Amino acid sequence: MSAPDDFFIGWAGRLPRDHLLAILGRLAIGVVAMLTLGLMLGHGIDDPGPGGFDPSGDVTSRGVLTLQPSPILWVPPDATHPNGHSLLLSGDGKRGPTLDRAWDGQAIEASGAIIRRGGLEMLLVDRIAPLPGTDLTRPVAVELGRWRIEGEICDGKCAAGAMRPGRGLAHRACAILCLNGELPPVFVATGPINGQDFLLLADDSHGAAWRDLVGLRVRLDGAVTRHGDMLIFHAELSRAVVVR
Amino acid sequence: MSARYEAVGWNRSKIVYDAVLIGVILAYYYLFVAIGAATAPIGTPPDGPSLAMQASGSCAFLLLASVLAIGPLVRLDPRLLPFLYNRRHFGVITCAVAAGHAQQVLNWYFAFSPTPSLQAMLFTDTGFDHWPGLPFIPFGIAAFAILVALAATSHDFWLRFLTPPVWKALHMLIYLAFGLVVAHVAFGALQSRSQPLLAVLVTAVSIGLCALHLAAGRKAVLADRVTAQPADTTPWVVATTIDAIGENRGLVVNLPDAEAVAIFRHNGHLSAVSNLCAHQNGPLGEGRVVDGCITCPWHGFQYQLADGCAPAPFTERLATYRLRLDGCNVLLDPVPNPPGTYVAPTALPT
Amino acid sequence: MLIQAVTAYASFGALVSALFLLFGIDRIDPAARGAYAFRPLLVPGLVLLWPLVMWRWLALTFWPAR
Repeated sequence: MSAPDDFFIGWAGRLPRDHLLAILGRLAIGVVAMLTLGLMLGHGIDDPGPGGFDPSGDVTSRGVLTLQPSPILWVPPDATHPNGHSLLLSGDGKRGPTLDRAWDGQAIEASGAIIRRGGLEMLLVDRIAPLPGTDLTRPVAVELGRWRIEGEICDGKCAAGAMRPGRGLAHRACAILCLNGELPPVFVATGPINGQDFLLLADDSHGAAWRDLVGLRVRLDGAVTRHGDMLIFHAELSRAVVVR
Repeated sequence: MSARYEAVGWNRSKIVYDAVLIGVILAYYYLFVAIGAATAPIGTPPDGPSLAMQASGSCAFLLLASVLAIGPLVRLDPRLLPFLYNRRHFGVITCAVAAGHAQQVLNWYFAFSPTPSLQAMLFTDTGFDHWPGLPFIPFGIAAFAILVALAATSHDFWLRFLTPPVWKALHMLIYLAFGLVVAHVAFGALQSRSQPLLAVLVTAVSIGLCALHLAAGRKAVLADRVTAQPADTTPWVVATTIDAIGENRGLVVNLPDAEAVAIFRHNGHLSAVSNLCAHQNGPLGEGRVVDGCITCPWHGFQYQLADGCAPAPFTERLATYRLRLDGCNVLLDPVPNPPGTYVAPTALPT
Repeated sequence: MLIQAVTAYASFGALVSALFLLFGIDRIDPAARGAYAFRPLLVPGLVLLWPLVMWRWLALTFWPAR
């Protein structure tokens, strides 16, 4: 083989020296650029916000089950929660919990893992059973008047931290899938409302009506009611405005 | 280069090429996840799968941009030809990284649901009628489908089976894929990112690629090519002058309304063949005569000067052309002979 | 619906691919004769592009000069 010194032939496996230097130079620039970008892009990831599974493992709670607008367990006051507190309920994966409609308003006992982000707390129902003969009352609804609130419509499970990030446009399709699976739609406000940073959307359609707005920054008008520590937002779809 | 197809015609150059590429991808992934994200100034880290899909997605984007940059870079500096040598493996590996990204998205965002994950990915978000909130995933799916089609047709068999013009046209879809990826990122990650780095990167890479292609295009126009001029006698055209062709080198002659021709000078004789290599349409006129054979600058495919046939046992053949001398002018018959036709090399005056 | 259509397309593609690799490829491409290791690599492309494959297969069988 008599290849000239300045001509590369791949199958011959030899590289002219000045070609090798040029290649190594460009390769070094490319590799350093690529690796630096990897480092910078990794370092520049967005904060998905706090939230996630409670590391202390499964808990068992007793309370009153309500199915509307979404399955909630109202837990009466105890030492940790002197005013009582509410747990949104979820099933396995992107599904709502499997519940007997006859349990609505009844005392039940449920156990499973907890996902928590601020005041948003969800119980992933592993076992659930009614407690016949137990008398527990659900909290009284308090009208808080009409509100105009800016925020994002999310599915309650991912927003609580089942996924991080569990909000935003990149997560939008996942959130819609969760709502299709009958997970509760929640409205995560840009600022605290009555001490809470999220409201449960009162919506019979499990968020189907709000589908087009999921993941976007929106401004909603409607009445807010407080049930124990849970805020329920009776937002009006017809008055929804996309802010961004 | 094989008379009989092989799965992959491995040689040392290809092994080194692929090893470097895979090493860079693994290092990128490690730096993104284990160093960059782990030291990010944020309160809570994203979950593992979300982090992995950001790493693989950004890596696939950068690889796609790199593979598109190889062509113009080599055009601007032919010493970089080894980058082009195994470009198909680069493309297939890019497709594999994109497949990893798609798989991570399917197994996380579209998993755990009563709806099957593929169906969920295709049909969950179809609101193409509103902005903001335009679905960005379909752009990614379309780009990935193109990458898969190109990777699936990257074996030499496809080039011969589909014919070079069809194969080439199919593989030009890589540019459409890049546009779709930019849309995928612009309508997706860029909408929810608070940091400008990704936006700056995507814009800079897109502008950089356009600039490289324009510069390479400009160089190709100004390149060492000549355009044939009409001659007094038909069917001949004046291709060039004898002095314009160096020993063991080629000259590309553009013909009006026809494929360019490469004229080579070797041992006091001239021969002309099609400028397009029968392997991957490489520019033969930019190659050399090595061991008495025209050698393509891209993958080293070789052809005999007199008949355009690859030496046995190889079977590729090129169209040949008739040449004639008129003083110091080289005249060319612009009508190609059937591939493999013997044309006696034209002797130069001594 | 779309999923079923894609499944049907791919299934037919798999059939075409098997027939082509077993009986077609040796007749239309001399470089494939006696070469088997590379054939599995062609399967994804054959499944994806089977209408084009059938067209080229027919064309090369009946008008090999083209």
